[in-house]
Formats: sequence, C-alpha cells, structure tokens
Amino acid sequence: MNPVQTLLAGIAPDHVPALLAVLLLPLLPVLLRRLTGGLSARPAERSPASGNLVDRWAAALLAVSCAVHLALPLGHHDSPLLTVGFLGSGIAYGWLALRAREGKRWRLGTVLLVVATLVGYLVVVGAAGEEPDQVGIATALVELAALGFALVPLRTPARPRRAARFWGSAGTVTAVVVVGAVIWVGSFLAHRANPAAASPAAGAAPVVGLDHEHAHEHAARAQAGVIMRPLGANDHATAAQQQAAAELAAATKQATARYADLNAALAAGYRLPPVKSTGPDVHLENKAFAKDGRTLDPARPEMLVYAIDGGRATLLGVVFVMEVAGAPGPAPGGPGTRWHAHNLCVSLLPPGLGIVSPYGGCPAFSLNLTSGEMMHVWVVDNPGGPFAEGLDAAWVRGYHATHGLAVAGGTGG
Amino acid sequence: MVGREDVVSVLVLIQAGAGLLAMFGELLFMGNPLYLVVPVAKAAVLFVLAAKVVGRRRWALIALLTFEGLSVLGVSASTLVGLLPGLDRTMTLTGLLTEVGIPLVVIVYCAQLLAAWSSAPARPSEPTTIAVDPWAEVAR
Repeated sequence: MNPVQTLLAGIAPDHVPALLAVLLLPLLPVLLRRLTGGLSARPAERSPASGNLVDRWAAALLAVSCAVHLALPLGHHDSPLLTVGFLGSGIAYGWLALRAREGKRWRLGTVLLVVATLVGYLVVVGAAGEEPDQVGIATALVELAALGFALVPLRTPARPRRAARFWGSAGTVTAVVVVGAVIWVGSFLAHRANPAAASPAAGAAPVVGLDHEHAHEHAARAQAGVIMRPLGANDHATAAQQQAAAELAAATKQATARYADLNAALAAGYRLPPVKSTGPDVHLENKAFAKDGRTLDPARPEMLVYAIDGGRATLLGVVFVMEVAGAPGPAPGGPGTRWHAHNLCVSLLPPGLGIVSPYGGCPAFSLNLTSGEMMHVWVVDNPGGPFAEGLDAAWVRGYHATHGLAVAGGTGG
Repeated sequence: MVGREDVVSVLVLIQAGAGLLAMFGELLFMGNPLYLVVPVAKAAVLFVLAAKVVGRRRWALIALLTFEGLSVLGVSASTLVGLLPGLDRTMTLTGLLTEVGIPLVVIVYCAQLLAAWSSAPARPSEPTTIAVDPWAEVAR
C-alpha cells in the first residue's frame, strides 16, 4: 500500500463524515458571517474574541470535538439513545467552544464533558464493541489537549499557582497515558477476537478479518503495530478463491513438514531471533529466502513460526514476507489470504524493537518504520483456520504439550 | 496575544504522555526494564520544561527548541530510512498530529517567545524592584 492508502486504511468508513466535518470546520465562520451579515452588520454587536491564546486554542479544540460528535450519527447509524448522546455532547462542546472563544468560564464544563465522553469511548472500545480507528484516537487526542488546557491553570505574576499547575500537569500526562493504553488494549482485543471467531468449515478458507457475525471488517485501524490491507467491498471469497487458498495451505503444510524438527530448519538457514527465542510464537527468519526474489513459495517461506519451550519445539506455521516493503502481496484466496504489515519502533538507545503506539509515536531515539507485507499460513489445525491472523497462546501451549519434538543441542529453553 | 507559553506547556505535556505510552510498545516487546530509562527520563525532562517555559525561563525555550528540532529530525530520518527497499514508513493521522503537528507548533511558538523575550529582557513574571535609598527621606 502506498502512504495515502495506508493513511486512509486507518479511517473507519463510519467516521468519514466526522473527519469531513472537521476539515470543513474552518469554513463555518465564513459561512456564518455571510448568513448573519445582514442581521448584525456592526462588528461592535458581535461578542469579542478572547485575547488569551489558551482560550482560543481551547475554543478550536472544542469546536473540532463538536464537529466530530455532531457528524458521527451520519456514519454510525447507532441506536437512538447513542445518537441523542452524540448530538447532546456535540451541542455541549459547541457551547463550551463559544464560551472559550469569548473568554467566559469554560474549564469546569470542559473537564466534566471531556472526562464523560472519553470514559464513554473507552467503555465502547474496551468492551470490543467498536474497534478503535485513527479518527476516534485523533479525536481523543484533541479532547485530551482540551482537557490539558482546562486542568492546567494560567500562571500570572500575582498568582503562580504552583501546586495547581503541578497537579493539573500530572493529571494531563496521566490522562494521555491511560486513554492511550486502554485504546491499545481495545485494539489488541479486537485483533485477538478474530482467530477463534473465524472458524471455517472443513477445507474452506476463512475470510480473515471479519468479526464473528461477519458484521464489520477487523482492519486494525488503530494502526498500532499492525497495518491490515483493507478488504474493500469484496469481503467474501469466491469458490475459486477458497479452492486456491486451500491448495496454498495444503502445499505449505506439505513443503514445510521437513521443518517439524527445529534442527532441520536451523540447518536450512533459518535463524532464531536474538531476543525471545522461546515462547508460543518464535519467528525464525531465513535471510537467503527473504532476498531470493520469490513470492509466496511454499517451499521457501521467509519465516517459520515455532512454539519453543521446555527443550521441545513445535512447528506452527510460516510467514510469507514481501521482499519490497509497500508492494502488495498476491492474494490467490482473495479475502481469505489477507496480507498485513507491522509498523515498528527500532530504537537506537538502547538497541531494541517495539511497536508503534496508537498515538503514532515511538520512544525517544527510535526510528518509526514499517515492514513489508506478510501473511501467516498455519500448518497446525488451529481453530481459526490456516490463514488466521494469530494463534491463541493457551491453545498453542496445549498443542505444544502434546506435539512438541525434542530439540537437540540445547536449543529450546 | 498572551498565553503562548501556556499553550506550549500543555502541548509539551501531551508529548510527555504520548512518549510514556510509546515506551510500553517496546517494554512489552523486549521484556527488559532497561527500556524504561530513556522514555521516563524524557517525560520527566519535558514535564520540567513545560513548567519552566511558563515560568519564562529562556533556557527552557532553547532546550525545547532543541528537543523539538531533534524530534522533527527523527521523523525525517525515519522517512529516509523507510525509502530502503525492505522497509516502509507509515504516516497515520495521529502520527501527523503528535510527530509533526505538535513539534512544529511548539517550534514556532518557542521561536516567537524567544524573539519577544529577547526584545524585552526583563522577566515580567517577576515583580520589578526599584532600588530605594532608605536614608533619603531622613536626610531631607
């Protein structure tokens, strides 16, 4: 996917009206001036804008949140109660934005409203009712900034308000971390809910990335560690695509049977990772296969995935990786063979690897990079099927306990 | 327009929180408390700088300008490295806000404050003291 496609993939279709409302927001004052120009021609009759930049920033941030909340029902089509909630909070944000713009009291109302709406959003995300997307997270960031402006009091020469400023600052930082952490956990929960849910019929390829009711696509739109290629309109595999996916799974299982013994994989050039070389999902990479110019070759998968623990190893599956990052991988099974990429933080001090946060950032001294597209094919009969996004760790532990092969030479924990 | 330093302060606090959150992505992946050190230190420094900018400390402005400059440099470096064949660079909506938007606003505001404070060197936040000769009245 190119950068624009990736950016758009993070935006849930339900939230497009809200994003458009924000983009059109700067035109609103011009429109209002045109409409009310005849009614209040004299500038003196209009309320003066606050001379304090904090009030103006708060007004702008609250106006953005107002626009999002008012436009959400256009895309969401939720229950009447939720629609009323969106409209009510949108009106409240708009009222507070006007007050902040005019320099009237807005802080207490902002704190109460932002806390209420963020708690509501986190409950929805935490209960996995809604997969967090970039518009939702960006709106949460905007509201957190408004909360910060409301919590941290202004310092004046006469009133330094050190204690209030300290606690307001600490509260702002804490709110940013807690909200982001809950969103992140919600994103993982949505991701993990998939493999167990997408139980396919025997021999059929599951449609990777649909929830248990096939009601909406799981697209990892938080883009926090995982970038899923969007399914688009055609989210169900045809019979031919299902057949092609089943053939790919069978060919992969057959070709990699020789790597059931971890030592055979090591002898073939696969290497254990420098960290986390034991556990339920250890990825071994073959550098030669990663640069051989061959794509989706069952005989030469770029990575093998093992469960390694207690001196034994179990081959779970393979990972096919595209050689050129950004290039789309072939999908013979259509939506059944779906590719994804990982956005990672490569830190230099100390050297290490992590995943990008829902706020799109990395720790200090890190590079924010994205891997090439990749696709798992599991060679074990896991409940989620051969193309599930991941395996359930508890299921893997049970399978490993009964199927693990002894590893010679001290490898394997 | 007053309040520019207060805006900078809150934006920097948001950055401190976002940096702390980003730490967990690496901490969980690497499983080593060593990866706590730099992010926590960075958040602590940003927390102090946020307070000192509002206290109209010139050095805090310069430190923030340096920090934000390095942040923008880091984003540019990621973009350049992402041009390598095996790698890519994903720009998300939130990434645009936290990695580009906030640093640029802070840089612009800090530069404006620095220019304003340079033209008016006295710190208005502190009461101006005027030297008074206590014996003048007596001598009169």
